[in-house]
Amino acid sequence: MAINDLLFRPAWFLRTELLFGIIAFLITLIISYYSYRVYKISENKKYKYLTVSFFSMSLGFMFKAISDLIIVYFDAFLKTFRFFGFISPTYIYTGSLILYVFFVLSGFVILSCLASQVRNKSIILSLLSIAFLCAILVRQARSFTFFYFFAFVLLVVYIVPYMYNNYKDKKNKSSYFVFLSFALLAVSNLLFIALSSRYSAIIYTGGHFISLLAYILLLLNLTLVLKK
Amino acid sequence: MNERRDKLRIIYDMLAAVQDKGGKIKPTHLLYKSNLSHSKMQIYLNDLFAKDMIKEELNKANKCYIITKKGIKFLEDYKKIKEFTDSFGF
Repeated sequence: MAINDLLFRPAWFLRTELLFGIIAFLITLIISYYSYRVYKISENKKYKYLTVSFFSMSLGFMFKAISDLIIVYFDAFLKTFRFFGFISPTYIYTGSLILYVFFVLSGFVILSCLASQVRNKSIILSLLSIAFLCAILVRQARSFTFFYFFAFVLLVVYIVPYMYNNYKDKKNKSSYFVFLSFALLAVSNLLFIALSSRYSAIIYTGGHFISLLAYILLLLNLTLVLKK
Repeated sequence: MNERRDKLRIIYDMLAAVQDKGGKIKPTHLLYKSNLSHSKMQIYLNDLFAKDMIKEELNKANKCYIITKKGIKFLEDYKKIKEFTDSFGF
């Protein structure tokens, strides 16, 4: 399928990737809801930004799920869209992909600004503009595998040391899970960057499994917290 | 050296002080237990009234603060909130 070749995805992995996207969407949505509850009680602005950050990620994963859904059921979408005279599903696919990249990167921009204590609005806006630029560039397959994942890793680079220091300070299970989660996200995206120089289905699927594990660890952390 | 308390901790300390006194406390006792200045305590009290976590009771010209169900729920949830905020370190 031509549309699939755009991202060099192994065809057998498409449905699994769709499922991973839905899981990541639900986990980030749950975390943003809990952050919002904490913000309402504490009125601490940091938790407002944490809410916005995870909500932005969940929006991104929702658009990712839409784009994956179009790839998985492309023929069915094409027939339905032609029948009703809608625009081509390819446009919706591209639009969803752009929004996915923009919202996920924006979520990580906010999170890295929280971690590095950046308060300057112009710096935050500049970083969001870069996220927007990366989103626009996803129309080019090679740009997608490079710019998006490269920007992602750059942002996570600010978050991982912060989370590690927090773990060293708190020395508890939940801070360890959060640190490990962001470290795994960095590893998975480094693997995705490697794809731009040499494509490998193992690296691609491995990166996605590591990424899923990272989001599951975030959920595990929340479950541990709520159990107390 | 004492760590600076955040708003969440101050609210917890105030509500815990009321709870420790059987759910009802005199303003002077609360002032002492919460370790705040009078003006600061008033700010936090207004917040607790607005959030319906505490209510005022006038008994023969004596004023008392009573913890509400919402206040008790906050005390129960505080550990979870603290654990969550600590896990991200923000």
